[in-house]
Amino acid sequence: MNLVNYKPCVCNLCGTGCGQFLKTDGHKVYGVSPLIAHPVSKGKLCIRGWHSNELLSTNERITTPLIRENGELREASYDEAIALVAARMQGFDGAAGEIGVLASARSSNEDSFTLARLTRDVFKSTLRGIGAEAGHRKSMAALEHAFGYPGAHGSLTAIDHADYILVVGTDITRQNPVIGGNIHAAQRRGARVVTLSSSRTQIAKLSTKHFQEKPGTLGLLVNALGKALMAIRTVNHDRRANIDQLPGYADYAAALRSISSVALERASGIRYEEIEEEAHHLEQARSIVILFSSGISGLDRPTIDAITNLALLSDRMDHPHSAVIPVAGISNLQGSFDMGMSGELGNSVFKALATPDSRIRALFVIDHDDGIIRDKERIAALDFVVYACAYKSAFMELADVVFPLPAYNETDGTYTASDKRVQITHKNVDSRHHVLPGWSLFERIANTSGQHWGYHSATQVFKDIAAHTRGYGDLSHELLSKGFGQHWNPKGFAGCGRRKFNAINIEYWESPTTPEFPFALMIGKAQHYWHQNNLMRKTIVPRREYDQTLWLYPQGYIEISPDDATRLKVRDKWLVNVRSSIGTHMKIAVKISPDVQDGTAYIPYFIKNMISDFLLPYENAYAAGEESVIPIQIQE
Amino acid sequence: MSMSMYILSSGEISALVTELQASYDVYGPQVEPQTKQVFFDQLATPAALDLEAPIPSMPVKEILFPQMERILKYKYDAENQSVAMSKQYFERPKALFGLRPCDLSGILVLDRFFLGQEFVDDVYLTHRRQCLLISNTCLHPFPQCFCVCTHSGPDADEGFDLDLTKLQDGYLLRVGSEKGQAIADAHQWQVATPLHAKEFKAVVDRSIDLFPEMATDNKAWVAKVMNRITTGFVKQETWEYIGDQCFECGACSFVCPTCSCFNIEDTQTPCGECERLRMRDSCSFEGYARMAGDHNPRQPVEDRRNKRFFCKLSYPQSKKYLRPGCVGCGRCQWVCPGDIGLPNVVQYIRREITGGQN
Amino acid sequence: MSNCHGNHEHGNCKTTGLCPIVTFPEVVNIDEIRDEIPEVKTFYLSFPNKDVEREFRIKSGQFIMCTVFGAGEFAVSLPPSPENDRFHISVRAVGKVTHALHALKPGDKLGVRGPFGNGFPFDEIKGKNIIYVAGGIGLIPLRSSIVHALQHREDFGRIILLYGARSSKDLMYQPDIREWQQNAGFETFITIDRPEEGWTGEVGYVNQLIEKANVPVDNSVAFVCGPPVMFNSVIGEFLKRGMSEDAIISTLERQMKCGIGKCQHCAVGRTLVCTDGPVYTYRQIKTLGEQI
Ligand SMILES: Cc1cc2nc3c(=O)[nH]c(=O)nc-3n(C[C@H](O)[C@H](O)[C@H](O)COP(=O)(O)OP(=O)(O)OC[C@H]3O[C@@H](n4cnc5c(N)ncnc54)[C@H](O)[C@@H]3O)c2cc1C
Ligand code: SF4
Ligand code: SF4
Ligand code: SF4
Ligand code: SF4
Ligand code: FES
Repeated sequence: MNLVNYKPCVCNLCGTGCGQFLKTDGHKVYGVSPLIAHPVSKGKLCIRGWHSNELLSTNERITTPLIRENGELREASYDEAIALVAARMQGFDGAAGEIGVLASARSSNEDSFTLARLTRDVFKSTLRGIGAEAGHRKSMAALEHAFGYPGAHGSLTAIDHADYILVVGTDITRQNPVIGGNIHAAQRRGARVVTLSSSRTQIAKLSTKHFQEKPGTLGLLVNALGKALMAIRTVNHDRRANIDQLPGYADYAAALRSISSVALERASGIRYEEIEEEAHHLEQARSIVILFSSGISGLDRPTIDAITNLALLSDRMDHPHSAVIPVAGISNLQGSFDMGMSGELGNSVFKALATPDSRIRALFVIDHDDGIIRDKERIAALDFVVYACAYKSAFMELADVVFPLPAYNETDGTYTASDKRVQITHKNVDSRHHVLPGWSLFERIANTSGQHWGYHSATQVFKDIAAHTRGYGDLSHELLSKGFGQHWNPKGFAGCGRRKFNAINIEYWESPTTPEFPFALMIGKAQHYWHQNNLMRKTIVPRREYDQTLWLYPQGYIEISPDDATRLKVRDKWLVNVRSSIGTHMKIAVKISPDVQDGTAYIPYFIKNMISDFLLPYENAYAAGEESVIPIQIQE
Repeated sequence: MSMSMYILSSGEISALVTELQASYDVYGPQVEPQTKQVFFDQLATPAALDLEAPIPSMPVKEILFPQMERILKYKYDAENQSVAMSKQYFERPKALFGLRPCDLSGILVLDRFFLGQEFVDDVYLTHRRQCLLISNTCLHPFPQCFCVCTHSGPDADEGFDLDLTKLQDGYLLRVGSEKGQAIADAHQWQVATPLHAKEFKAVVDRSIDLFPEMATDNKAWVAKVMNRITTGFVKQETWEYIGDQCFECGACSFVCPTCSCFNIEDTQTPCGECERLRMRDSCSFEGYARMAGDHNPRQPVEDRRNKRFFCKLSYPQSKKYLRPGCVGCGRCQWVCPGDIGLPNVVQYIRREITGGQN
Repeated sequence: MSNCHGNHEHGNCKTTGLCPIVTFPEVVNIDEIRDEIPEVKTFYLSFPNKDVEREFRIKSGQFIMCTVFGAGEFAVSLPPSPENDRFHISVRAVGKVTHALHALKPGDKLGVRGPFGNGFPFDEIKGKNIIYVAGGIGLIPLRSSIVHALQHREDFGRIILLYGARSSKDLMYQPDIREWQQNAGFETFITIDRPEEGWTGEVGYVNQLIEKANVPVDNSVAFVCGPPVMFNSVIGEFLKRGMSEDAIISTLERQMKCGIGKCQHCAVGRTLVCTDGPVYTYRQIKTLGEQI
């Protein structure tokens, strides 16, 4: 009998990157413990992290390669499946856009790096993408423009020391609870925590100040804060002068000056005087941390631009306890960008799938976690689909060849958290079925296609990553194994150190609601909106929690304020007809919530039939994430 | 029985561990080398035992009440309409070497809960039977400890087979049971003198003095708060203030040496069998109490937190445990991403009682 | 029973010396399945192991934990009388396990642990009038006590049943009801919410029957089981008429995982429904300090 011991690793269930111990005998996982010395999580985990043992011991694993034959998937050897994939892929013209590769934001850097190489060198394809990338690409573009490199500025640990913390939009105690906990702790030690959010989220309740703006005006509010700060700066002439030397300042300043307090109040519902008062706090803070959510439910580009501009304008960004962090919902979203798996602008796999006359014929997909498969019919009609994942999922049904992958604790790998902290997880359990790690699978496909990379270990792959990836040059597995990871070095980017304002436009967002469609409906906010629903459904206790909502509201729900409920004469759990301005409609239960403001309504993203029937026609709403609004009417 | 006492050298302690390893799985505090985190875990070698290590990060209950275990396996043959079942938990003799007094008290609470009452919990009993409990006096408190307020430390006064205290001359070993005496009788350990007994008392007193003022000061308050919680006189606003800070992670239950709640779920294995799994659960979760057909008697989060503190600090619950449900280990304070570990909740209720004045 | 790991403190052990099945489910055979009302089926069961069968003694108001192999375990009341009755359960399909149960055929096996719970008082109420008030499937937990009381008719004063359901299709145990209606010693009042063609019984809600039945409040006990709305209105009516809070008796339902007082899922206030309940007096329920 092997001794059961606690092995340190990194939680793989969101972009916080908490330290965690798994209790294991090298064959099975028996339990979880938090890691007290971890600089970010400091001995805390959220419900997902605390139940990773349930996920890691689920029976719902893919255990061998599978090949579809006469409509059914049958077991196959690696040799057979790899040979088949290599042969079929050679029949497609990758350079002409016939092969698409969809990477996973949960894969290790080693897997994503080798997958990028497979895509480029073997498939000769530029058609690639990452699930949940849309929002993150916007964050990366805005941050690169502002700070000279595509990644967070500063560290998540800054929260523990900063004077001022600004949370823009995100329901952070649900999506990245441990970061939420750190913010709450900061508030208690005396930091000023300010949340801008149209609904009264838990972090809003725990903040020093909550601005509950009307939907669609987050960016405007951030800019208004900029205007007020600039006004203070103009009076205090002794302040650092070089901010106004930065490129884009003049345009930015002019745009800020144009903000009218009357129009601001009308659009956002927030008085400029309140903003001015807030700006005084901002002015006095020596260190400032700004957090916003990035990924599929993240902010739109103008709002992120407003955030980076405010950060630069504050003139506090050189302080070691300042930061601007795009908080990712998925563990290695940042890393998969760094490894180059994000599609080129305007040329992603998603676009190819959604465009009826695109040339795509084959698809290579890793970890499709979402319960919702977009463009399902198109995928089903492709000539050849390869799928690789550790866990069974609905996507297998669409695949011609399926490969198993190890779970995150069954192989060595590095993961890059939201704040660029690269951390290593060492294999602590033997994969029960001798499953090849992703990098090794990709290498064998390359091999069979006539390319020899010569990787024998993840460590060796990482050497290549360090040699070829900007920012990663100083890192190695050896170094990362000592401590709790290290941020990648922005100095790897030539532009690092230069700062630029993003161009902004002041728009007083007019709510698209009309007397006929008086409610502003928003998607994506729900207590159990966990990105990895497919993963959470493989656990026991978190699955029960996730199902809670569905049990209470089997048809899904729409959240409205108590006053609106009274006006509509409806009670909690009553079914209502919801009709959108473009004519889609659904029947759904009402959930009355005091945290929602009058005239707004929320539906959770995860309820399947709502997405496909009601929301999918709203292509851009889906892509715009947190700030998108659909005008609707609600009738009893 | 009158308590025999002996003085053991470090060498004799190691020898005892080696000897026990012949007939028991021996568990003890050890320091994980990379992170310096302490776990109460099975010892590979006697050298791994570190009796001076701080309080283990996870409660010792993990050994007797695993985070998740398979209790039953069955295969249903639908064709023949028959079923084959087999029990999946087994007894092994275990020596828990170097228990902190709070963890020992935690085990006593679990004993009274799982083995007392109307029914005996067979799974717990199977893990618990044939356990040798060896406690270890805390010479000084660790951050967040407040066992002095909950009568569970810094020294153990009941429930152990053997108890260790580090003195000048070596370890003072106190015998607390016949099982412990039998082990002592099989050795030629040096019998302790009254001077040693006096030193023991001084060591414990010094340890108590080293507790932060807040902890000792809370002592009287724990009783007052218990009274308030039992009688239901804590204001709704206070529960809401507490509820707003709960992130519903379950951590407080998972690290608490006295939390015993579990969930049961039958799951299919790939080979057509079915396993009945029993896993820890937490009353902080919304799904913990919900019932089919739209009914959850404890849906608001503040009601669920209220449940926790009723469980830890109320007279009816203490009756089941024969002591307060909280043993003062402070772990829930460590792991709570909100700020509502038990000591803080005592503070909040105390603030309510005093109207803001501490 | 070899299977018992009780401290012999449990009601069953104390009164009968016979222990319930505590840890391992005992296999039972489904002998027969009857459609009761929409979504509710009754399953007639028997123990292949006759030793176990002989020692399996129940009290009215108790429940068992029933395993549907491959799906899980759930709590279910025992409708049969403790004496001379067929062992059966009546179950509404609401979720994962209960749906799996509904998919089974006669001859399939189930697992049973129990009986658990305190049960309804019987000896203590001898000589009193008994008023049974049930709504919908609330008749399931009451059936055992009704049949048992009728088996000992001479021990009680008036015995009255007030039973209501949404429609005539939703009335449980119709053969029993027909038999009861023939029983001169049993005053039955059956009502449905809305008038129906061919329905000659009462129309309206159960609480309205209290007046009609001219229920006695002195020297009486009322057993009330049904949905919360019904429960509250009926209780209100009884209290208004001066019935004592101790004489109103009901059962509580909570999520249950173990049935033996260990998992704590069923906690209500300071009590555990599986061991301290499921039968409570209204006075007790009021002081539990939680939603019903
Ligand atoms: C003392 C008692 C007696 C009962 N008697 C009957 C009866 O005679 N007939 C009948 O049809 N139903 C009865 N119930 C309710 C029955 O137990 C639930 O309907 C059943 O557990 C639902 O299980 P499920 O898996 O189908 O539902 P799911 O919704 O899938 O529930 C999953 C789990 O939650 C728990 N759970 C959910 N709802 C309940 C509930 N209401 N009570 C207890 N646990 C629950 C169970 O552990 C269940 O396995 C009784 C409940 C109790 C507590
Ligand atoms: S916050 Fe994220 S990384 Fe931390 S425990 Fe939760 S899921 Fe894991
Ligand atoms: S309530 Fe907290 S301090 Fe008390 S025993 Fe449990 S974990 Fe320790
Ligand atoms: S009810 Fe809550 S506090 Fe009490 S033992 Fe269970 S999990 Fe712990
Ligand atoms: S540890 Fe804190 S946040 Fe987590 S469930 Fe317990 S009280 Fe709530
Ligand atoms: S059902 Fe487990 S304690 Fe009551």
